[in-house]
Amino acid sequence: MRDNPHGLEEIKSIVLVGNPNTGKSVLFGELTRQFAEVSNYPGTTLLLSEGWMADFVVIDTPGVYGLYSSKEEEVVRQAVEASGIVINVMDATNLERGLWLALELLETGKTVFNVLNMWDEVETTGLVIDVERLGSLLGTPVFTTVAVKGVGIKELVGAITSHMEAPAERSLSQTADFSLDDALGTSELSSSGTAEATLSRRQRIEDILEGVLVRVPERRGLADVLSEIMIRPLTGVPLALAILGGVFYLIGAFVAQDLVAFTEGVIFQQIYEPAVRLIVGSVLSGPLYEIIAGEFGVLTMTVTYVLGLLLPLVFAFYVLMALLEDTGYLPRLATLADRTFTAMGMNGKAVIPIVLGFGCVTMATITTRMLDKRRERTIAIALLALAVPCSAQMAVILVLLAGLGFIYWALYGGILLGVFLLIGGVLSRIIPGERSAFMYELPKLRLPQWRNVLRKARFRTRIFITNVFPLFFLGALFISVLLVTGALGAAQQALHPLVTGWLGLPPEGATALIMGFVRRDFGAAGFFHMALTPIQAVVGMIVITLFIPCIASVMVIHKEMGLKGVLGILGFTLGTAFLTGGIIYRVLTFFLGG
Amino acid sequence: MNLTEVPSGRKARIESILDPVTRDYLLRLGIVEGSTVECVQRMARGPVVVRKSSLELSLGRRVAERILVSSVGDDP
Repeated sequence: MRDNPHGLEEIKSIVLVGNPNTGKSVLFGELTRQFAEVSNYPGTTLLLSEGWMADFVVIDTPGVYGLYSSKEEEVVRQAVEASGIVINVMDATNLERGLWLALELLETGKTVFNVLNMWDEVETTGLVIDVERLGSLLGTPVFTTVAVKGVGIKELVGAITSHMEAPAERSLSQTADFSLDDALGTSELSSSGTAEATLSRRQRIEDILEGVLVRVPERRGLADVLSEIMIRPLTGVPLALAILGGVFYLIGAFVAQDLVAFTEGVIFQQIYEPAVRLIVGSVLSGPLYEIIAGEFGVLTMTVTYVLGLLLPLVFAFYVLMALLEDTGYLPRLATLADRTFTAMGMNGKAVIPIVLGFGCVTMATITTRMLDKRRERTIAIALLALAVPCSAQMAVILVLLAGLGFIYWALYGGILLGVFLLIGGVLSRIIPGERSAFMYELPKLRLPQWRNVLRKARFRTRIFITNVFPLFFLGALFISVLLVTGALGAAQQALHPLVTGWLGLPPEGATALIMGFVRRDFGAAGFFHMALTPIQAVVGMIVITLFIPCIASVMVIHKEMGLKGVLGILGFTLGTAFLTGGIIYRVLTFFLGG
Repeated sequence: MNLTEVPSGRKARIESILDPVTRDYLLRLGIVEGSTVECVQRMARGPVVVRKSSLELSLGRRVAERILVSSVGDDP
């Protein structure tokens, strides 16, 4: 962060406030040229992010509907109180929803700039809004923007800058002498719902709407029809399966095989690795050569896996996820999934962290903050740690199972889904606590903007790769040291009864498990060079998937749930992994033959 | 009757929102006692999706059961 350019003077700050899905984070990006997480579903901005616009601090806040009802709204209210200027971002196509917050903000006495974002959609749907009238009814200027295309930003920035530079004109809102205490007093009453203030605010919204909505189109657009198809179970369930199946097919068949065959197989294994071996081999030999350029070498395997295998896969997955997020499909999926997730002690909202977990379990674990109750979070985190393979791990698994044919893919997927549902149901029964009410706004379906999709995928991939590199590096180092010191052999010996006897895997399977402690995908990669029977491949993949989460996830779980929580999760995933693996080995051998 | 009893495609008038948290949430979205909403989709033992102008909202079973409504329009 930059130094305060005003020295001891108070930093002038601007806070961005608005309902969920109004484009605050995109606007934040436009104002500060920084990236804030953007998605077309509520709950993306879980923390405040800060950026700079010229000499002013800009703060992005989570989407809220008001200022006085929840913990999240409390955070936003404090940010508003601490700021000089408030930008209230409203969805122009859904003015009624935004006005409640707009009125509450005006009542705080702060200088408020109201922004009608997504103005292009107003024009295309045939809605007519009298913006000038709205400005005079609210007593503050109203701007129209299309943040995703950068339209209207210059005018907004110009107005804010000139206001900031002319402090004499203290407040643009109509009641500058309105004290904060009064505002708080009124609004606290308002949250009781019966208070007169609430009704009068409601009445004022009706009056404003009557005054400014010149024309409201009746006809239903294509988006509404599509939305209904998505949430009607008869059409929605097959569609959901097709969409998710399509995502994994694209990743599994195209990226994991064709593209990776080139990036990993050609660029790294045929060109890069031999070159490294040649160079390192000319200087070093023995154990040091083994550690640096050997089978698990830090310059050979680490670099090849991270850049040749993970980079294309993870980026592709994040692009597809970003597309799904920005269309507004996920809240509809949450609606469809609500019943199933209710049976697992959560509500439909939990489908979002779970789906995101297929991208990166670590990030998804943080996203569970969008769930309202502690119990729901615990169950979601446990299931993420247990039965959701991240894209990196999935990639390696898909490559490994690719040669075996459809039946083994189906077996792997089916067993995983079964474990997920079964364990979810069990956790729902044994973890105490209440469940939360499912109330979820379905954002309008939109065509995603490539600019935002690519920006988001690039941003997340960078975080992922920079996090993975050191861990993979240390992991490879650790394994190589075990290898050259002979400790790996001893560990294999120790794990022999479990790995060979109980799980029916070759003795080297122990190496994969030890590697799995470092990263789960790393563990799956350990099976790469082994000659496995199809049954061994399925058992190995299931065990490595259910096995303990990667180090990065463990760190996040520790942060979210404390030491007891993380130990509980580790014990639980280890136990479930070995129990399930052993059972599957026996069942599959019985039905398919050894 | 409550909101879960409104067939898909029908409109209903909100009579009473029994749960204060739900009422607070809906109030700010512009749905109050007296509002008319359209039931877009009612899932068997699942949530109810309602629409009011450009707002679409998914309400869980237990939430919808505690919203009392009366039917509006062309009921038999």
